[in-house]
Amino acid sequence: MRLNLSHAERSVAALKPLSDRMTDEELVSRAKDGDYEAFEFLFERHRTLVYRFVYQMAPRRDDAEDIVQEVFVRAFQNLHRYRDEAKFTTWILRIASNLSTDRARMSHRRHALEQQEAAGALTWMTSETSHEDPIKNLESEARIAALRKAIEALPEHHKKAVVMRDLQEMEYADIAEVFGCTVGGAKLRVLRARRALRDRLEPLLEEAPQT
Amino acid sequence: MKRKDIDLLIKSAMGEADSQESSQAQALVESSPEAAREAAMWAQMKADFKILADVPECQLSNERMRAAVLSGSIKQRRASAFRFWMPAAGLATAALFAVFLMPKNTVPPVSGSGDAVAITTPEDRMRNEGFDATTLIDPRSSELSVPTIEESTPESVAPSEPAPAPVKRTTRPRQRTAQRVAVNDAAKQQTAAEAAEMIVGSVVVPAMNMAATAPDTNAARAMMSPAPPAPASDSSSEEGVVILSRESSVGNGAPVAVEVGRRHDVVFGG
Repeated sequence: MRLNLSHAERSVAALKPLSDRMTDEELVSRAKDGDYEAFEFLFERHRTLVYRFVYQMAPRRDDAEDIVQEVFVRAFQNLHRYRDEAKFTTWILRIASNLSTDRARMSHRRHALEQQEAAGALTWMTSETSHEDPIKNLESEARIAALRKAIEALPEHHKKAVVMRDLQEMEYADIAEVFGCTVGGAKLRVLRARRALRDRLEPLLEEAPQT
Repeated sequence: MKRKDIDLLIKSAMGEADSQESSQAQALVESSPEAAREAAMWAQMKADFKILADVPECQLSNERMRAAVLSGSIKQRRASAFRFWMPAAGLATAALFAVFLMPKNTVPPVSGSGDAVAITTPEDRMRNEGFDATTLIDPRSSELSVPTIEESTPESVAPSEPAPAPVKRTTRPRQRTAQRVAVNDAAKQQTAAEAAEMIVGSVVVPAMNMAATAPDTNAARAMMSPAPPAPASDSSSEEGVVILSRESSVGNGAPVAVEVGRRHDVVFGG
């Protein structure tokens, strides 16, 4: 539930001690007034959300933490532009989305894909869904590797839609805010992204080992 | 399969279909093996999405975040500034190198002071060919033909007195003209240094002794005696230098020629 704070409410919030029960808007209001501790509360609260999103979007996995740091630095520097009409999470994910896109343009996608394939080849050792049957394990990991490869090969706008909806399980309303479109537009974007993912996944699944 | 059917199966597999859409998808799966494979693929994909969503824990600490925010520095800004200023600095350095290493134009030194400048006249050539200058003299001529030399008077040596009339040089190749030179006794006594101040022009004449003559028309007849035997040297080194002095001959007003010496250290012209 969104909370639009009036001037009086902000004044009251400024007097309250910082706690985890404070809403994002209250913390943002105090951070705007120069209370850095309030911003730290926001950072700790939303760090994982932003990191998971950036981790899926980053062309290189080791760049994810750098991008997250950059996201929050920009958020702090642009707190004056934040308006209470939008949720803080969608606002900061929008920053993360733009930064991830910029980073992806700068990087070499082929090199990133090769590295991710190498990383994917090792994840089966620590997979939580390992089956007793090694053959099934191999099929599972090959399928997951193919899915990851297909997602990485998507165009940035399709990739964002799949990551936000299918990996992050975000609501269409929030996705619409990040994209800056309507809810219907967000649904259409996700649908088109899934079609593109399917077109890329089919040939990869045919190459994957099958029993 | 139609795209519409595929969209329906995706929606149903992802749990986004309403009741009516779910029923339609179920009927489609039961009626078509291809639709059944499609639905199974999307169901498996949804399960794989949950595995992919599991990511390592973020290691970004509060301290590191605080330092980044307070410093206000962002790696990309530093990199972009670096990328902007480095090429500019490189160009500036290259320009400085070009300026310092550029070869300076050297002007060849102007020869004049103290350097011998041989000036060869047609008379020299005639002399070199064995022609005797004394034969040029026409003792019967009452006129004094003076060499016409057209030179400008350099300001540095310009006399305070009005400059003498310019002397035209009318030497022509192979022209045998009688050249009579009036020699003044006073000019003969002048030193070479004083004579250099009165240089208005010079001409290398055949090696002749310019003896002083009486300031009359007969002075023209008193031609130089044949030059004394020159030391064994190149014929070009026997060339003498005649200077037209400021003083005019009493007889005809022509400038008096004085031989400075047999060397070529004369500034020619202005």
